[in-house]
Amino acid sequence: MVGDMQKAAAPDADGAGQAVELENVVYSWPGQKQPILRIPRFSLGQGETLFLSGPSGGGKSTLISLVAGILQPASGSVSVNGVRVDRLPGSKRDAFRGDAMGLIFQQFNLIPHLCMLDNVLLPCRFSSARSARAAARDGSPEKSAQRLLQRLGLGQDMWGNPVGRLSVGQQQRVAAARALVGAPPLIMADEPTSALDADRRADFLHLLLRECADAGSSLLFVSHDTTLADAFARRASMAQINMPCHEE
Amino acid sequence: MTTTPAAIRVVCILAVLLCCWHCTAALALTDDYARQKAEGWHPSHEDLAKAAAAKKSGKYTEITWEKLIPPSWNPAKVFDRFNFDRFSDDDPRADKALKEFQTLWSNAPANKILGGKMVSIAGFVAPLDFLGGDQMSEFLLVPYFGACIHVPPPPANQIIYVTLEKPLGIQMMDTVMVYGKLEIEKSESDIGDAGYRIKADAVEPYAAEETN
Amino acid sequence: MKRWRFLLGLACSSAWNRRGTLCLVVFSIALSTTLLLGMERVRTQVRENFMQSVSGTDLIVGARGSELQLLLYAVFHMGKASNNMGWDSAQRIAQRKDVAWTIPVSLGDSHKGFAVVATTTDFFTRYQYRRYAALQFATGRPFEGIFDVVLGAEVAAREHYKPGDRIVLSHGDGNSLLAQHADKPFTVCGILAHTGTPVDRGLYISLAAMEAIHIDWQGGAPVPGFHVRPDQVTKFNLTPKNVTAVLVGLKSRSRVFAAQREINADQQEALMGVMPGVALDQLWTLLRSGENALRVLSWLVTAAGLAGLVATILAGLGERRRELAVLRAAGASPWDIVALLSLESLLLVLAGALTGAAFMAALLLVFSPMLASVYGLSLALTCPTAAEWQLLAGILAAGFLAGLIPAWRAYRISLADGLNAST
Repeated sequence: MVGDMQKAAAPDADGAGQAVELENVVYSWPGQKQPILRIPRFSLGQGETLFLSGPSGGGKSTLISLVAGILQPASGSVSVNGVRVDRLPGSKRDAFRGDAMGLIFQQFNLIPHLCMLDNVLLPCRFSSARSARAAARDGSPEKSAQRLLQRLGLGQDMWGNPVGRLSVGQQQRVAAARALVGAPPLIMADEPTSALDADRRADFLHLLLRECADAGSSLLFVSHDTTLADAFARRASMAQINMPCHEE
Repeated sequence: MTTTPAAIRVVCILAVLLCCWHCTAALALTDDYARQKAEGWHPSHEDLAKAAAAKKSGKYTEITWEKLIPPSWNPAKVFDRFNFDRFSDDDPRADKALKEFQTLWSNAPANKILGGKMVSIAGFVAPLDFLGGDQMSEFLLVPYFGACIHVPPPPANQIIYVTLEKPLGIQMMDTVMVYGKLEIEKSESDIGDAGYRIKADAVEPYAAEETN
Repeated sequence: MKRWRFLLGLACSSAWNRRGTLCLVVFSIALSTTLLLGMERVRTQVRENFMQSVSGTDLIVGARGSELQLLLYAVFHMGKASNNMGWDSAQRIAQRKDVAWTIPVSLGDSHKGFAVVATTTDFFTRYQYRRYAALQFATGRPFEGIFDVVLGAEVAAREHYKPGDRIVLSHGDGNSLLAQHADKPFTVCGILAHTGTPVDRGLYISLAAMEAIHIDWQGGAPVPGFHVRPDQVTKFNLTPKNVTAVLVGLKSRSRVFAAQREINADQQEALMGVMPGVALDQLWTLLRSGENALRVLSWLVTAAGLAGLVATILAGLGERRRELAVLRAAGASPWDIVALLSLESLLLVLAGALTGAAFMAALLLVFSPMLASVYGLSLALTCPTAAEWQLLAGILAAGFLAGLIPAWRAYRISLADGLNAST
């Protein structure tokens, strides 16, 4: 059990420039004495794809928030690409998130009053580094966004449309394009397929993995649907990573 | 390309302060007193400079209102003829005496010595034409407040008819100091001197130093 | 400042998306802006109009009564005179040694809503307005014959009269069509140039003419069976018996107090002399408290409009929590959220204020002809004054401050929600 845990927590021992690295992280909800997360060690390598499973309420979303810098751990260290996220001051955390991470949620990922293209370009507006990376690859952030949308099966005629009328499947693909634009080193997806039909889930996953490989981004995929786990390089469960102390 | 949130914070705070200031300024337009002050006469820099230069030049002698009355004039002596104790009530002679006194008052002579002198004198403004805004070009200078509203008007030798080259925004009942050459107008009739007149070289607001 | 431009674009797009609800908010702010600006504009222009209507007149003399009423009636043709003064008193005043000129005026009749003023030809040579400007004739000449009439510029323009036209005067304020002096029509002999004062709204006839049209009238109505033809009027004595007021110019302006007191103490008739400048200043002091009350009311209306703005945006925040979470995921800080919400409020208040200003300009355009002919107010569509800019800035400032409330709320929400906005 301990061996499994260690294996799940860190694939290789050199750990040089890990995409994500957590050490002795403890987090509890404000007002709660009982920590919801107690993670002695967790890491994700560069370019690696990880499927993280666990029950709802088990702290998966909290973990993502901690890595993204939205929440601060009570103790321990959180690093993304070698940067100590928990040590950064508030505004720098937000900026770093824009630079280095792409996030996809289960639903309502998009800003309803912006068109498809503007939604995809959102991170580039907040981060100049990201915008520069996109421009370096495709000439301009707009062209980068267009390329991604094309590759995700969303044609040119849709780019200027307001996103309100898209199907859930289409919306999730736009969200994926947004997470991928500017090739951030880390992409985190919190139950992105749970709102999709069963037959669409595999398609979406396939597209996402292909684009992550193309961009060289690491992918942390959190879901309770274990049928998707086989596509990933590594899989783990919250129970293996998280050991909150139960007072009993 | 992107500004840090710290800069946003600073801009927000500055904007808040600016807005508070504007709000108070706009609200101040509501306050009657503040508005009166705002709309009162604000002499321009050149007007004030002209007055300061006039004061410094020493050309103008400051005079008081008493100087405008010739020492020999004493309208009250009209009453010396009468012994009021011997009048009965409603005696027509008392009214006659009062009328004589009033006639003398309104025909009060000018102090000829002051004719043509460069003087400066402070007093209250009674408007002749209220042209609105900054356009008063003629007014009467009188020695006390309310001379045109409810208090009996001053005698003819305590009124100065002031004309300005350039209209100024003087308001009714402002206190001002006028610098100029004092002329005694020739009367076109036989009712005594027409009164004093000053073509003002400079006018400035006057704050009384002491009231007693 | 690319981020600011982006946030501004985002605010625009977000507000446009909710334009149905926000329209009402913008409308209420526009209304309060119109109210504030309109009040200010009317106030200052009315004042200027009044102040510039007459100059160079030392006293206005009339029957003893209300000073303001005499001024308003004699100069502005507003209201009624409580009493007339006798013609012999007018003559006596004209013969005073300290008087340089007099202009007797008699009012009472009207023509199509404009006042008919019976006066002497001295009116055209002595009356001054603004900075001592004298009256000019655009065309024609002063009255000579009994039934000659000189028109003010506004009268001629509105009714399209030209010299030679025949017009009929109405008795009294002309409300009853029966009370016309139809048997004695007048001929237009001259039209005055535009002055921007109540002079434009008057028709000027001689004092004799005024007597002439009333020879066969008694107590406000024509006497049945007694009719005097126009050619017969000269047989009668056409000296007026009384006049409404006399405008007096003194030889020496510093004698105005003395003259005023003597006229007030006149033994033969109860008269009063009014100094125009002083009376007008008293009028403004009287009106000032009313103005203040109106101004406070306008600010309250603005506050109500802004409260509506705050309430609407606050209510909409609930729906936008997801949107705020998405922005934070993309790298926005809570201060970006504050900036976004503040910009939104500012844009709405700006839109409201500009709409309100435009609306006020439109109202002025539409109503100024009517105001000019009925009240003699020329409300010009000029550039906004400094005070008006200040009011606009005040509204914007108040709007921005009010908008900080929902912005702060959004800040707290986005901090609390993080990425998981109550889905």
